[in-house]
Amino acid sequence: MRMKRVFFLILAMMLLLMTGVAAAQSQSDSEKAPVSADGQYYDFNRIVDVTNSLTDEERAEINKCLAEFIEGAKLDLQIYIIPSAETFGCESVAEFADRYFDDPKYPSGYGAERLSLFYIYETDNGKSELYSYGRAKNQTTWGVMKAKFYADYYMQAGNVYDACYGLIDRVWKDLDKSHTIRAARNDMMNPSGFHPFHNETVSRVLDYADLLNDEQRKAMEERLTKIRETYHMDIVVLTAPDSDGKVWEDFADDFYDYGGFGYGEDYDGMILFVDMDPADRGYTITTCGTRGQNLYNGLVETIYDDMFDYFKSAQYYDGINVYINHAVRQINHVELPSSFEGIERSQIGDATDAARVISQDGILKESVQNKLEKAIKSIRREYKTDVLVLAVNDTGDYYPVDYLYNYYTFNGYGEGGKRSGVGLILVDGDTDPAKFELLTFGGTGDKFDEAAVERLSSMVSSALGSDKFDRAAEKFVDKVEFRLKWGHYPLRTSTTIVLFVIVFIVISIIASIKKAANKTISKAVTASEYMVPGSYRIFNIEERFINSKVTKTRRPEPSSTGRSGGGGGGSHHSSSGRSHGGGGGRHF
Amino acid sequence: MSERPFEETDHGMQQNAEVMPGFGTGSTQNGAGREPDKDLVNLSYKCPNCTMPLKFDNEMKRFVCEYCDGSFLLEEIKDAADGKEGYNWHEYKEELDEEELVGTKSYVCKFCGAEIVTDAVTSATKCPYCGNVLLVAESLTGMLRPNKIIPFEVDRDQLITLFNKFVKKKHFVPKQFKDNPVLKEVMGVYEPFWLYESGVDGRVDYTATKVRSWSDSKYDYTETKYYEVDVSGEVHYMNVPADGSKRLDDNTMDSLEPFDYSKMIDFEPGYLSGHLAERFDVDADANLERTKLRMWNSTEAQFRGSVQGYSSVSHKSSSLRQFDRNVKYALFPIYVFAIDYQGKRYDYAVNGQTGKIVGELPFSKSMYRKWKWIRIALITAAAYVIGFFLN
Repeated sequence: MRMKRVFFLILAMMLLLMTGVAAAQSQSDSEKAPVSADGQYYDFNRIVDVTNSLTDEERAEINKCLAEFIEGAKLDLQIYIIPSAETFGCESVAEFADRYFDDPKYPSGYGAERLSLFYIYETDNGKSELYSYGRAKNQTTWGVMKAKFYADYYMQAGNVYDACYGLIDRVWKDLDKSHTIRAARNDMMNPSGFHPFHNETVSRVLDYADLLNDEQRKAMEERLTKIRETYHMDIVVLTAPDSDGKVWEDFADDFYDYGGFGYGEDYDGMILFVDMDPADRGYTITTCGTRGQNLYNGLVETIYDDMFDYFKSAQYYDGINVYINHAVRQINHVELPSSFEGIERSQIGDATDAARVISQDGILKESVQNKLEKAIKSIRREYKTDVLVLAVNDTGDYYPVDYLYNYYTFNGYGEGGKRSGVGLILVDGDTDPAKFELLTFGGTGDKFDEAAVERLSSMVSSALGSDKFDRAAEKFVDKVEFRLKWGHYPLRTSTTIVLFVIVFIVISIIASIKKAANKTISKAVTASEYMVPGSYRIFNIEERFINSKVTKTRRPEPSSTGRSGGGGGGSHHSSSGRSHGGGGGRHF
Repeated sequence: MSERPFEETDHGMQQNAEVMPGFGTGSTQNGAGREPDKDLVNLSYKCPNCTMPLKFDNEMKRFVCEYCDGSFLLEEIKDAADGKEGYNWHEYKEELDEEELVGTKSYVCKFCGAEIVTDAVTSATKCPYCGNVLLVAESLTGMLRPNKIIPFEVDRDQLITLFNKFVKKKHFVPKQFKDNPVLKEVMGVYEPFWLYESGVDGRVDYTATKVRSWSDSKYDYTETKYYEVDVSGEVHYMNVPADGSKRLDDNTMDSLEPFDYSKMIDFEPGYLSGHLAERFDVDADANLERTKLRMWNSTEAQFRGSVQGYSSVSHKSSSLRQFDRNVKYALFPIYVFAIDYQGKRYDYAVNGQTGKIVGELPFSKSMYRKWKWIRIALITAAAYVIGFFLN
């Protein structure tokens, strides 16, 4: 009985709302008749404000504006402001749009093809959708999408009037370039009118350039959502056919700010903007908030470099994932995790008897492992310095260096109170040549200063070549022991060879000079010693100018790969006045 | 002093057509029927004390008498001889006259053709040039009188010391050669030289550049201005020597330079005492081009030094000429000797005035390699050790 009451109540509410929509649409039956000079559409209200966000005057003005639009743009634009599609018994906003497009009482569309564009904003979740019908379905251009974002921003800010007004004007401008956009009452490009907000519902993968397929887009959205929840960092991907005439950084910054992106009070995050404009195709990354900037510092060129080949070969999904991977790894790099591979920071123990050579999937031969274990044992005993060799296939969401650091730290490696030691990680991944990193821990810095680590790295690198992991690991342990014993490394083979060659050349020259000194007979070719002193007289020195030539060579650019004028790595402000980092970028 | 002017013609330098009897190139015009040993003492200066023949002592720079131990300067001998019979201190002409030639001997090497002149008491047993022993003594006729002579200052006995000093400084010479040099066929000889004197004037043209660079924010600029620079002037040369004998190699004679001209004196036949002198067989014309080239090179270098203030200067062309030319005939003291080593003959020439020695030395490849590789090994090892500890 009670269930029946609830059912009827809901039914009654739905009817009431539908009636509300109908009422909002139908001022009178006479308005249903085809109107306009050519009678291409039916006249009824195109603004449906169920939430009463607009005043009557505003609604009338916008309705009038919409009528002008339909006449001018030859497209039936309808705006719906509703609590949610569900409140109308629709499972989705799409179903809601279809229902009202097909409503026989209020035939939508312009002309025989019934060209229509529905903007539906749900106030309950602050989300909007744009649907097009008829030929217009193929006309949902980047310009229209920008208009939607413009409207979204004002809707989020509670300024429904400017949202509707701006949407109409900007869609019209996109369809007809000669249309002049009338200034909104509160122009979003005016910093004083900027209202920061968090837009949690908007997708973080905004692929307006259509570089991803649905499956890729969905997978990426899920990953970015998870990252946002896990790391409290908003990672945004935006692809677009152009940058609206702005430089990449400004466009990306504005989009980030006015789109309501960013996490927390500082709106932490970063946005990758891919501009597919044929005249200026490239990508840039800008950041927001202190944490976002930290992620970016010192990393941007690496990201750009790593993305480049993928974008050049149109592997956009993989290229964008490089950006996301770097972002996540950089988070882990900057911020020590609370746990690592199931070990909490509070559980860090002691690895006195643990293995020092860890090799996944037989990357290192067993005989080599045993040999190195023995050598490391001796090093630990003699020099009170720990040595860890990690050979892994994958470091997940960690940079190899962070993986090594965390592995060493969380497993309790190190000698003495300072946990002194040296670590090597070899990654048998997709990278060619294989990647490796070196780290010193605790008080080892005085024995392995920056130059020493660099030299050690160079020796390991040459030993590693392409996947010679055993040789690299052996070289690492061997040179660490040498360094600890002598306080320095042996001279490089190349240095020794260069030394020998220099000595050989110098001695050969000296020997040749000495040999030549034995030759005492030579023809006299001058008579300077027989010149009568004081007899040299100059009569005249005459100079005649013949011609001159000027050559000019272009001075080297500060960076041959950076985008000119990009200002990569610097701090800049978006039109909203908010501070952003990053920028620069790379053409592809 | 007898000087022989020469003029440049359209065909280049050419000796003025002045005939010098008896001094054709390479000719040996010995007078027929002469008795080479007749009146041996007449040309030698006689000791004013005991009338015995005097010899010129290189060290003392005086004529000495081996019989009464007297020593005299030339002027003293002349003073003493004035008014005495047997001494004829008349002015020398271009050729030595008959009386002067009486006390000379001439040897002709039948092997190399060298004609050796000496005083009557000096005997030549071997040709100083080729070592041939088949010398034929003949009477000397028509010898051109040299204008100048540089007397020997280095004694024959000093040669071994000088050679040891010379070879000691040389590397890669076999030890056996260094330790036991046996100087063979040592001969002191007055070598004929032509001394050329000339002024050189004219113009040398150069191509020169001045380069300046500057930059703006986008480009680096380099401006190169090209100029032609002409230098005209003159310079004088005095006594540029050139070997007047075919027997000794010209380059070897060049290498014996320099001679100290401050000790060059007017020729007196008595200076030949105890030494051999060769008659010239290369006349002055034959050395003109060689000498002119030396003057040209030095003149161009002198002019080049006056072209300053340019980024680069390169020689373009020269237009030079000689003027006020004169040539003199002189005898310079030369020792020649040879050393046999491992079946090969090594010839040496010594500047008889300065002691400078020139000549090919035997070269020990094994010593060369040893010297080189020991040092390479030691220095590389030392550098490695230093590098190891500084690394």
